[in-house]
Amino acid sequence: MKKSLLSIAVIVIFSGAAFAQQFICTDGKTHFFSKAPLEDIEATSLKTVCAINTNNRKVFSKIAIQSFVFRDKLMQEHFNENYLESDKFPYSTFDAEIKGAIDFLKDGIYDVTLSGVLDMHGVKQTREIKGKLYIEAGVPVRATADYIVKLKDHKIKIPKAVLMNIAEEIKVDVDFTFVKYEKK
Amino acid sequence: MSKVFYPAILFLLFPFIGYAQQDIVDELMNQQKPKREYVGFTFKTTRVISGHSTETVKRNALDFRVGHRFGDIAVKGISGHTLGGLDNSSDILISVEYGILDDLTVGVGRTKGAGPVRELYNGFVKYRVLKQTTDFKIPVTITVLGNGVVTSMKNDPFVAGNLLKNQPAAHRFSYMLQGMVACKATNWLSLQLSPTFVWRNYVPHNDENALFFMGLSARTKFTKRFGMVFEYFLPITAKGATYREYFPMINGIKNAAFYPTLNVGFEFETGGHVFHINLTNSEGLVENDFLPYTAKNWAQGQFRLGFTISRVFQFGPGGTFSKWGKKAKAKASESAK
Repeated sequence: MKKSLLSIAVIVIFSGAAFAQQFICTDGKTHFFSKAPLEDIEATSLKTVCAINTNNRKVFSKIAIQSFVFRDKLMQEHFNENYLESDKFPYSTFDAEIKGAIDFLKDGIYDVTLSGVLDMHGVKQTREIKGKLYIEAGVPVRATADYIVKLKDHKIKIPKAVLMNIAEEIKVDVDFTFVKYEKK
Repeated sequence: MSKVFYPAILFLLFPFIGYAQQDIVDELMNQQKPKREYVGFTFKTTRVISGHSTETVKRNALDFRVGHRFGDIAVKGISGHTLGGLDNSSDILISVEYGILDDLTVGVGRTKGAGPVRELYNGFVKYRVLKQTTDFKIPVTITVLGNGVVTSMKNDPFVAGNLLKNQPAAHRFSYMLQGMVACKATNWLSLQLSPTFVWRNYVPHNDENALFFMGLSARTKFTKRFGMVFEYFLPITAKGATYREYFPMINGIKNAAFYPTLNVGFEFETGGHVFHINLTNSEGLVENDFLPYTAKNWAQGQFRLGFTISRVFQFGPGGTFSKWGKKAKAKASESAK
């Protein structure tokens, strides 16, 4: 009897931390742009998933590489098959923490810095990414960020024949809209 | 007891406990996962070597193909004078193939022709009926192909005379119907079976209009962009049809009039191009040509070097030509400001 009471008490105490404010996004836009002398390449995914915890300021976002849509289907297949190798590395993730002073209850647009690990093509890189967090009615509703990904950093190899077609530094921009997380 | 259960029930009402970001994201990710994921790139291009693969040209894309087959490489007394056949061209193919839908391709092409019937124009319709899924619940990709060939020859290919004057126009046509069943067994191995039916309206004396073949094709990849391809068409002939007797060793004859098509090759891919370099005993580049008329024997050095180049152009916004389009120019000047 005492044991069960104790264990329940422990759970209840821990659940204090669990009334965490989780905000999620399941249809986040991730767009990238490659500007090379011969060709501009861009693709968009509208299926990025992201979760923000306003208590511990942790952010985790994940994208299925195959969800990127190119206008040129052949390019899309090459992107998956040859460059990002989505059969081996199906997802890219960013596991980060929000840095800087920010009051999650006060409305406004905050410049934030995310510090964490970007995992892409199976290579982990510690990154600091700058973005904006929009707070309305005391809850985060939107976040945007843009950053550069160097293909070399993630061991994405470009054959010499297409060096003029693919940029070595890819511009990425993201735009997420958040809603409060409720477990189904 | 109720003292125990009360907090327990309370705890059940707040099931947020212990949910890290990653778990939430993973759970949401699983929810949006499509039920079926299809296998892509069973073959790198729409042809294995000379014959078709299950691949189609993507929607709004145009595949421009140039193929060439040289002369016999190692025939005693002949090949030495043509530098291993490099002076001769057995067949030349130029074709354009357009993707109406992702799974529906139409194409037209011209070949010189290697058999008795030359000056060939061909048109085909190719449709992918079934797509293999990554979980192997659908284990194969199935594509069907219909092909029609017409010759513009003046002279009769089989007997002395004028084809135009002495024969009906229908005698210029031949057709091919092919089903292709392919399986990408692993990332580096693709296999294909292609039952093929060829119908020629006009054939030489003693020959048959209807011919059946079973194509066996394979592709193995060494690296992401480099692989080897193999192709063989087994003739399925009725017993006693002596004119089309294959396999001289089995049938106990010295030389057969025809030999089955056996092709091997290498495949390279660089961005939008796919190159094939291959060795073939067949000379023609269209099924209606090389299936009925291959009379060359590997064992006698009658095989040849060949290559095919495929370049895919994507039409529409964001495609190959969009950089030169009016809209793209307007957009570029806008962003420059």
